[in-house]
Amino acid sequence: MKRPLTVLSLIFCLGIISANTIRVPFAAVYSLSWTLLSLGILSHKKGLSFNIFLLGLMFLLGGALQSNSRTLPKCHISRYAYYKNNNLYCIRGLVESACLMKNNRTSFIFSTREIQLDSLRYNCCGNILVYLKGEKNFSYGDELILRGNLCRPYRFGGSRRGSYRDYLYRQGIFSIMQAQTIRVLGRGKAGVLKRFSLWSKEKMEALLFKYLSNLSAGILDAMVLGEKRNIPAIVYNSMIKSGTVHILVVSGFNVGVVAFMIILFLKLIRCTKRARFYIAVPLVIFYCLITGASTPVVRATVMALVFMFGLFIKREPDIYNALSVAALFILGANPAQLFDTGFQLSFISVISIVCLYPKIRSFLRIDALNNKYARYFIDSCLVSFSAWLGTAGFIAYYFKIFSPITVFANLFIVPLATLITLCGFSLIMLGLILPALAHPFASSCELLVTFLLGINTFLVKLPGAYLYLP
Amino acid sequence: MIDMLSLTKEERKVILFLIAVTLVGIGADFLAKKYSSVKALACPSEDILKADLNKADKEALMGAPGIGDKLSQRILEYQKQNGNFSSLEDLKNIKGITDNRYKKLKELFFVK
Repeated sequence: MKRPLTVLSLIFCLGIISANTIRVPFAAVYSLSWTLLSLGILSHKKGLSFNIFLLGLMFLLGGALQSNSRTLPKCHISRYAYYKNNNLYCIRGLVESACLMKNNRTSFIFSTREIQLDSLRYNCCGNILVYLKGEKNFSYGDELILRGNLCRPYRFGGSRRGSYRDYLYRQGIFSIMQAQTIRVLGRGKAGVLKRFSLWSKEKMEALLFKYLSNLSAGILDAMVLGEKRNIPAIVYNSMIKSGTVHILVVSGFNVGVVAFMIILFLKLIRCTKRARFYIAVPLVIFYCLITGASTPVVRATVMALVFMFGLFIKREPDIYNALSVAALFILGANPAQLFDTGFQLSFISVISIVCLYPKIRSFLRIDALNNKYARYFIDSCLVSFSAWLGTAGFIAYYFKIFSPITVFANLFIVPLATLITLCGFSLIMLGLILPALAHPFASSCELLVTFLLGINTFLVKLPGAYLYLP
Repeated sequence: MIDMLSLTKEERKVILFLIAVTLVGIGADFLAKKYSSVKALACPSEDILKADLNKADKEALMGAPGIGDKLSQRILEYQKQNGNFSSLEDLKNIKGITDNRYKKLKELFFVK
């Protein structure tokens, strides 16, 4: 099968990596891109020469995007702040994210508009990370004036994954403010869709905490809504050791479950194929927004949309091409994501399942097995093994941990996580529509979470389950 | 690798069009960044963080640290009964405004 998008996205990534390694001026890359584009247009009827120009063009496009993303405007907020600076800055802008409250401290991303220095106001742009003492509940889109110290992030926590500063830079955050005083100018002054999705998320979280204990609600909050702040550190670390921490974040798996549930429900109420497509697409996008549109969710959402569109226009969807579209979409918006551990692990795990699983399966001649239960069991093992094989090297390199128990643990944990996710979604839906029926689902969730934690603790305690690398 | 790029004429046109649009977008974005400038917007006589106490509504009052639902209600009731504040010192007449709280509010409000 020909996979043009896979080739193009690989060359595009190579362009990003090259531009990140070799600092070539943007103007040079950009003008060369236009030259190749012109040559591509002139040779679009020829076979080989067009392909060569197209590959070169994709390489330069990746380079131009990366080079442009590093350029900051003159009025960018990071140009006002230095490492050691005791000045008090006054900044006006909008709250850009949901508030995160932890250890009696509130943090959120703030999109800046104006800055006041020595009685003069200047225009500015760019996002900053704001920390406040105490628990303040601002919403996305609230217009505030903040006063406090402004500094660039320090480079602590330097590891193979990069420092905390590198992590923030990749998110487009170049300064941190320790705000001392705040004034609220107005409420809800930003995009309606994002505001509505964050509001929905708050309501759904409240429902989980209403029906479940704090521990179960915290775990379901992470699995269903992508909010990890309520998971106890001991549970999180235990999941890291068993290599099953991926179930505690919203990933492609969750998007798949949501898409499956929506389509199944629409099928049950006898919706036509066209109607199913038109209803499912906005709902999947809405779920992506609710969970904060993290890289794995965006990847899975784009892939799900490509698949649904393929089925809609009656063309066989190809997973490699769908994966390539997702990569181009994410990197087109932010090329720095290529260097993010989450992006790499998300794509590597899918690629290794897609590449390795069929090969191992045919090598072991699984189809020759007569017992369908044995076939299903071995298939599950092989999927888990393929993902582990693909990501083990990356995990050992970045996190310095090697967990042989992962393959075995995933066999039990993933089906349980699927059940918990389904129960969690059902609980939220029932809590909204039929609260009286929510309690049985809540009890099931509690039981399944207890079971999940019990299995995980047992597996981690097995000898040789995991080992830390030097 | 080149063999894998088997594109039809239409697909080639679509890809070239998309790349051209992306390149125009990147160029425009780069120029907007390069020629952006820092403008001094105004020379405010008042600190932009401060708000006029007489014009502040309940939401604005509650945005100040230490002022909750009840205290903001008391401030508004005081204003209703006695008219506009003539100075910030008037706040001290309201129950619940301690010296400490007054010091904080002085940094956030002014009276014209």
